[in-house]
Parts: sequence; C-alpha cells; structure tokens
Amino acid sequence: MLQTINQVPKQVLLEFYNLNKLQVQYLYDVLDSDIDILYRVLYNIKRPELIDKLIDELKYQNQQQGLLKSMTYGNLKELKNFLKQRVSYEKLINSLEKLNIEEEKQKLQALEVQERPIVQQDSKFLELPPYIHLLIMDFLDPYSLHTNRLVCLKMNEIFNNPQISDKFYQKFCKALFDQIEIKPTIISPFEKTRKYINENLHLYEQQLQLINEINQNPSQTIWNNWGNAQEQIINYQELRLQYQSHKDMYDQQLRLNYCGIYAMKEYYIKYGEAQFQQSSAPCYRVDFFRYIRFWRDGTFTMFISSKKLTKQEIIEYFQYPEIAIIPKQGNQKQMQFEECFLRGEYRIVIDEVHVIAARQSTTFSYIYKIKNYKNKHPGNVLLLQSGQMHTLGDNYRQDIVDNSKKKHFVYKHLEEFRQELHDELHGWKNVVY
Amino acid sequence: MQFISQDDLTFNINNKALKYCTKVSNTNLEVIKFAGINSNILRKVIQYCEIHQDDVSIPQISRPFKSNLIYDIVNFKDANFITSIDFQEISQIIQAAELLGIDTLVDLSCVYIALKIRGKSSEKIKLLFKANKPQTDEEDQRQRDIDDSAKGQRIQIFD
Repeated sequence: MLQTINQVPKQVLLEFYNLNKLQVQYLYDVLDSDIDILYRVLYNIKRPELIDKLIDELKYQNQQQGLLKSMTYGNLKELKNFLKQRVSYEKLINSLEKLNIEEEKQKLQALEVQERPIVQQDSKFLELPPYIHLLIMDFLDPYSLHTNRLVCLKMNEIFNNPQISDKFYQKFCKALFDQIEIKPTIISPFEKTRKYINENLHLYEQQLQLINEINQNPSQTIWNNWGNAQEQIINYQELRLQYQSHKDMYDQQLRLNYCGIYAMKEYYIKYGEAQFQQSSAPCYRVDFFRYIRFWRDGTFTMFISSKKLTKQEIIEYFQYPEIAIIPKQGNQKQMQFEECFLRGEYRIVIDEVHVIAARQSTTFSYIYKIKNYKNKHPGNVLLLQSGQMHTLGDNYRQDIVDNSKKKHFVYKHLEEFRQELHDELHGWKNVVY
Repeated sequence: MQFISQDDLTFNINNKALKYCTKVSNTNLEVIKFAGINSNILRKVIQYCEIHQDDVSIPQISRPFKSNLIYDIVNFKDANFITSIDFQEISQIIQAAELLGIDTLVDLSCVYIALKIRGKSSEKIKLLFKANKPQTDEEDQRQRDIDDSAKGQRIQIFD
C-alpha cells in the first residue's frame, strides 16, 4: 500500500531531468526530505549510472536485500531507521566525491596519450618526389584513393595535383556512367515473356509480332515498343562533351546508387460490404511497401511486401540479382514468395529512369525522376511520374498512376553490399576501375 | 664496373647486369661513388640486376590488378625479391633506382606499395607510413646531415 509521500519539488526534477524520477524520490526519502543534502548529493552525481553505483554501494554495506527490494514505498520508515544506524550522510557524500575524482583522473590520462600527428621527417616515404606518388596512385582504385587522401596533409596536397585528381574523378565517372557489356551466360529476365510470345503470337499486338520475327531478342523488342527512339540514353562519351572537367560531371550529374535499396510506402483504399442492419459500408486503407535495388548490368529487382522488412531480410533478398531461395520455407511458400518479386530492366535517360518489368502475362513500365533531396546523398529520391500496364490479349495500355498523389522512393545505404561490388562472378570489376 | 657506397664499400657488377642501369651504362667509366645510397640498398639493387641478367626484356605490369597478391601479377623471382625487403627500405630503393635509371624496379616497388595500401582504412595506412624502429634523436640528426650533404654531390666520378 502506498503511503503519503513527500514528493520531490518540481524544480529539482526539472534541473536534473536526466535522472530517473523514482531514483530521485528514493534518495529524497532516504535523506529525510532534506533539499540541501539532496542538492549536494545530486550535484556530485553527474550521470544516472552513478546512482546505480550508489545503490550498489549501499548493498555492499551489509544490508539485507529484502529491504532494498521493497522499493514500493511500503516500508520506508524501517529503511530509514536501518540506514541511520549504519550510514552517515557525510560518508555517502565523501564516497560520491571520490568517484568523480577517479573519473577526472582517467580523463586527464586520456588527454595525455594523444597520438602525435605524422610529420614529414618521421617517414621517408613522404619525402619522395611527387611523380612517384603519381605512379602509386595510378595503380589504385577510387575507393582506396579516397582513403589514402585522408591519411595526412601531404597526401591531400599530392591528391590535389590536377594530374591525379582528374584521373581519380575520371575513374569514378567511367564506373558510374559507362556501359558495361552484359555477359551472355546471364539469363535475361524476359525469358518468361519470350515463351508466352512464341506460344501466343496471335494474341499480341501486331507490331510486336512483326518485330519479333525480325530479331529474336525479346528485350530489344520490348524496349522498341515501350520507349521512344528520340530518347538520349546516358553515355559517358556524350557527357564528356557537356562538362569541362570530370569533377563537374561527378558533382552535378544526377546518378543512381547501386550500394543500397530504394524504399517506398504506398496505400490503396479497399471497400468492404455492409453488414446486417448497417447503412454504410466500411472502407479500409491498406499499406504496403516496395523495395528496389538497381544493378550495374541494367537490371533491377523489386520486392512488394505488406510488412516492413528488417535489415537482415533486405540483405538476404537483395544480395544477388537472382531471386533468393530460402530453404526454411516450404515449396508452396517459396512460390508465393517468388510472386512478390519483379525482375526487369532499366535505362537512364538524362534525368529519368525508365523501368520495365514482366511477370507472366503482364508488363509494367514506370518512369521515375532522380532528385537530390536536401543534399544528403546524390540521387537519394526517385519521384514517380507515370506508370502503365499491359496484359496479354488487350489492345490498350492501362494507366496505373494517379498524379494527384506524390509518391517517392527514398534511398538507404547498406555497407554490406559494398563487398559485392568487387565480386568476380557478376562482373563488378568495371565499377571499381 | 665498380660502385662505391656511402659507407665506402665497393661492389662489382658485370656488363650484362649493367644494361638495365640506363644512366650509367653508356659511359666508359670504371669507378663511380654514390654518396646518397647506403650499402645495404646498393647490394639489393645489384641483386635485382643480376637476377634479370639473362632475360631479354622484363614485361610491363598491366592494370587493373587481377588480385591482391603479388605472385599473381609479377614474376616469381621479382615477387620473392620484393617480399624479402623491409617496407621502410623501399623508399630508399626507389631513390637509388632513380639515380641509376632502372624503371622496372621503380614500377615494381610502386606496385608493392599500392597493394599494401589497397583496401585498408586510413588509420592502418598511417601505421604503415610511421617508422617502427626506435631511433634516438642523435642518430636521426646524423643521418639527416649525411643526406643533406649528399644532395649536393650525389654522384662522384673517379677515373
């Protein structure tokens, strides 16, 4: 049962807002509701961790644990009498002051043991002439060049040499904007559509039928059908003519990020049926999430889920371009799991990303606009501009997107994906150099 | 030919090994003194020339690198040669190779340094650049005086 308690005045609680209310109340009661002594104690306690030390010290001073467990303010009077016999308040405050002295000593020791910065005379490596550092930096990839630059001031000066800095940015720009040759061993994501095209040619639009007879490359037929011939796809050699230096290209040109995922939250409204003796029908708002990862090949994977994915799940699903196989699930769940994935191709056209994906008998195409939002990370927002859908047997394309709602993807960077950029199987070496 | 080092030690070289030292091979001299090179380092530079005595030509190193090991990029002999040298002495070997005009040694040592830097954080690279041997201030000053006096006269010729 709670007793009437002398509550701690609000001024004290506001001053020491870091501390737990119950702990302060406990101290206030143990110290016979003396505000002066409370202030003396609390000024010596600078962090809430020390209150726990205080309580542990009281434990070690031969006290019964049963009394300390009765922290519900039921048996406070007995506690106070018990403590008065054993502990004097001055000793408490002295012990607290000793704790703070030890901490200050450790801080002073940490300040003395600072590392001396590297001076040029210490290492003969830094005394070498700059054209040798040029040779060394020629051999390095852009990521290790960046870490090399941060070592000391002299390396930063060597890096700012226009010969090296231009090559550094040139390597990055080539890795980002240059086209990579796709290996023939990789299975294109349009093989399923290829089967349906060849089996049901009579249902397709007449244009596709003709084009498919000429060239049996399904990706090219689909791009020719869905895209414009006048669009300028990003090419490194064309960009080189637009910008004066590679550094301008690296800073100003909008680009996609490959070392993470883009995530979006969407909703749609679902109408239910009215129950008996109800005049109105219910409507529900259903939220779902989309996750995209773009690959350097020109392909992408999208995952649609009703729940928000954790970090480990994202790493499992988006580690490789192929759809992940999770052996814990059974066969039926694996089939349902694969239906949530979309595999397709994308192309970058100046500001926008054109995306096409095919699943069974439908093809989806979206157009996203790249934006640098709040200067946090270049290309961290993708705005949804338009989207269309086409099913087998139809002569029209259906618009999916309402322009009234502004939907956007937000980028999340994951460091675990960086090692795959150096992997041999997926041909990511071109990204490094 | 004979080379004399900073510590007044003499080393003999064949004419076959001299073909890589481009700055020195065309002259008809017999004895040359290098006041800026230590004896340990001269010995190793001459060892490199004698390894490639019988080779017609040394192939150039291709970029990008295939892997992080030197044995995949360079010949087996070169890789053994460089891994036997301390990391702190490589900067002195580069200076010696410049004086003599051996371009392939310079490329080799730069590749070795680049492979050590590659893939590491900036704090670990700082530990690489620091001198590990505890030298007293007097020894540092002595070495610096010798190097400063030798900058004016790097090569002395005795006929």
